[in-house]
Amino acid sequence: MIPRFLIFLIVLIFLSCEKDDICLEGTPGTPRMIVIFKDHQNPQSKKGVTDLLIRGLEKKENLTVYSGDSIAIPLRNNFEFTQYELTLGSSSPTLLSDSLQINHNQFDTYINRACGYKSTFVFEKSYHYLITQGTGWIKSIEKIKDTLSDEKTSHLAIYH
Amino acid sequence: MRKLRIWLFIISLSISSSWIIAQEVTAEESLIEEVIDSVKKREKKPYTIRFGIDLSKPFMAQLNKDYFGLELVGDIRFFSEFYAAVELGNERRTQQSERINFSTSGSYLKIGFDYNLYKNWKGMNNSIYLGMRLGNSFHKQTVNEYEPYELHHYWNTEIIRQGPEIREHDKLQARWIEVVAGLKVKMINNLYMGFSLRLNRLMNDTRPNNFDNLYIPGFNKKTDENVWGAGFNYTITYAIPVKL
Repeated sequence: MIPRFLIFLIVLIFLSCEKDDICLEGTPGTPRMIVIFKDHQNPQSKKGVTDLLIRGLEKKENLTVYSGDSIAIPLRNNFEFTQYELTLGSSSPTLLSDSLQINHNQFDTYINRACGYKSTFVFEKSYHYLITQGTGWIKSIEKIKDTLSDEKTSHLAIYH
Repeated sequence: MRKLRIWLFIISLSISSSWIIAQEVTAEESLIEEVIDSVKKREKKPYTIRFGIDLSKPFMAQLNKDYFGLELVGDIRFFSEFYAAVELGNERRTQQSERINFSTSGSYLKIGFDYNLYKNWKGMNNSIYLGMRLGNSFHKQTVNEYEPYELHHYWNTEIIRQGPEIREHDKLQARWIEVVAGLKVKMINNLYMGFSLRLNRLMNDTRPNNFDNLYIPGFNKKTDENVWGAGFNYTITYAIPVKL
């Protein structure tokens, strides 16, 4: 009787699962960087890209192959920069490739017990750096917002 | 009550069960009253001071190397079945919640009363009690490491071990009310074993900046969605009778 009672007590004390332990779906996590693509000849209007291959430098797998005029790109947590290689026209014979470095720092905000902290990225003063220049397709880059606190607005514009 | 008195009577006189005869009831009753009165006069309870420790905390410290706990308990009977009760404790605990590893350390003080519901026979001093406490903790929280909440895992999510949020949050307090239910049983001489269950309701707490009191010494786990908590202790206490 005594061992059985003890087991019951130990189960009671140590095994407890609560709603509290699960981070609810829909809780905003660390936001990605929203990039919009614009026309360098007509800076007011958006200009979509077709078959843009996005790959993090040092990464083997691609983030995505994208067509459209705005995309969300994750930044590297706990790093001061994130590097991506942006290759336009991956399905056409002429490849136009640009490697871009984004300089950022971050601050972390407590959400709750289950979700922990989320990161908010802030662009550094010199927020970007084109590693390969010359024959690339990117004409210029513009910062729209300093702080990446959510994914509702765009943060960076790429003119091409 | 009446039944108890009758039983008391039986024991004190050590007579067999065949004593109730209808014709003699009135005489017997007056006799009972007299006997009870004299017993009451003699059985004036001494003011006992009991003190001891909670055994569950050192036991849990043995099982879990990231935990240390000590709780001193004490009570004193001040009138009829009311006891003033106090608990003084200290806890240190490092734990991993879902994404945060943190340490809590601090002391707490609980002051309140117990009301004994158990009617003891003469010479016994066991209790089954209900009580209340006001609890107050003085503690600090330290964030050791955490994994930021990321929905997109293209880059590896790094566990953050240094930075502005890896720090100690000190000078924190919490206040709560406890409802206590428990029992104390006399083992040998003046030694008592006790067990109590506690339901805690948090009144207020000073929240650390950009973190939360996920664990409060004395109160235990604080949840996000409500103010309730729970606890227990398993005590061994020694009683000193004080005759006034």
